[in-house]
Amino acid sequence: MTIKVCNMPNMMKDLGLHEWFLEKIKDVNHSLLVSFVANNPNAVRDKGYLSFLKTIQVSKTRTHSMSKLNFWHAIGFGENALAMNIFSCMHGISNELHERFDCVLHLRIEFSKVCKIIITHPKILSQNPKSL
Amino acid sequence: MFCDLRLLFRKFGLARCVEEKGNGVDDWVRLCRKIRLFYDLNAGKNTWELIRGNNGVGVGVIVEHEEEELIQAIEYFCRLGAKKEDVARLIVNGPKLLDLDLKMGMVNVLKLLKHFGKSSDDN
Repeated sequence: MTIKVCNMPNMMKDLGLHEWFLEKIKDVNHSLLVSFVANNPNAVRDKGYLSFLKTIQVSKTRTHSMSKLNFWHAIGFGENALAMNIFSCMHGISNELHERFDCVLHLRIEFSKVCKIIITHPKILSQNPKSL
Repeated sequence: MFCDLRLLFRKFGLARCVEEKGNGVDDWVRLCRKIRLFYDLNAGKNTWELIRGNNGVGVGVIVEHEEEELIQAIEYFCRLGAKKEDVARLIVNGPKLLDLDLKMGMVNVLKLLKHFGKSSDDN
């Protein structure tokens, strides 16, 4: 599974590993992260994911689906074919999804737990923020 | 703050760097804006000590990197949930972190975790 460097902070939060990760780059070795990215320039992306990406890029709802997909990655989910089923169960435009996601976070549910809830019950993000 | 600026400009040679780069008003403003980033992160405490970092590495960071690059890196590490003063120290002491391609870079998650010493059995 691959992920863009810019989405990594939230992925670490999803995994509940952000504190561990921070300690590593803070205390152990600053260049651990830099050397990793530099030594692995061409991360191989999941084939299933790429074909999913291709399908939505040629679909009629391309713009809509891509912004939705960007939201999905921005909250820290990686490029993973299996997760695309869950992604497809989520309904709404990316702004709405963002609003609903923030809404759940404001309920003081931990970031990593919110992500687990989304994986098991993706429909949580199909609700109106008011009812959430 | 003026005490911090005096130390940074005189003792740590920041003034010389600006003079070499052209010594224009804009050069001075740019440098001061960058110092301010760290001043704010550290809530105004010991800015000169912070920027000096380990053996003056931080002075190079401030001179060589643009304000925008610094802001991007600061935001990135803040998103990981780090405290502001820790982010400041991280950047000043690890200038290589500023070379990371934060926008387009792509990583393999499992390999990354392994590289950092996490095995797949750990939870």
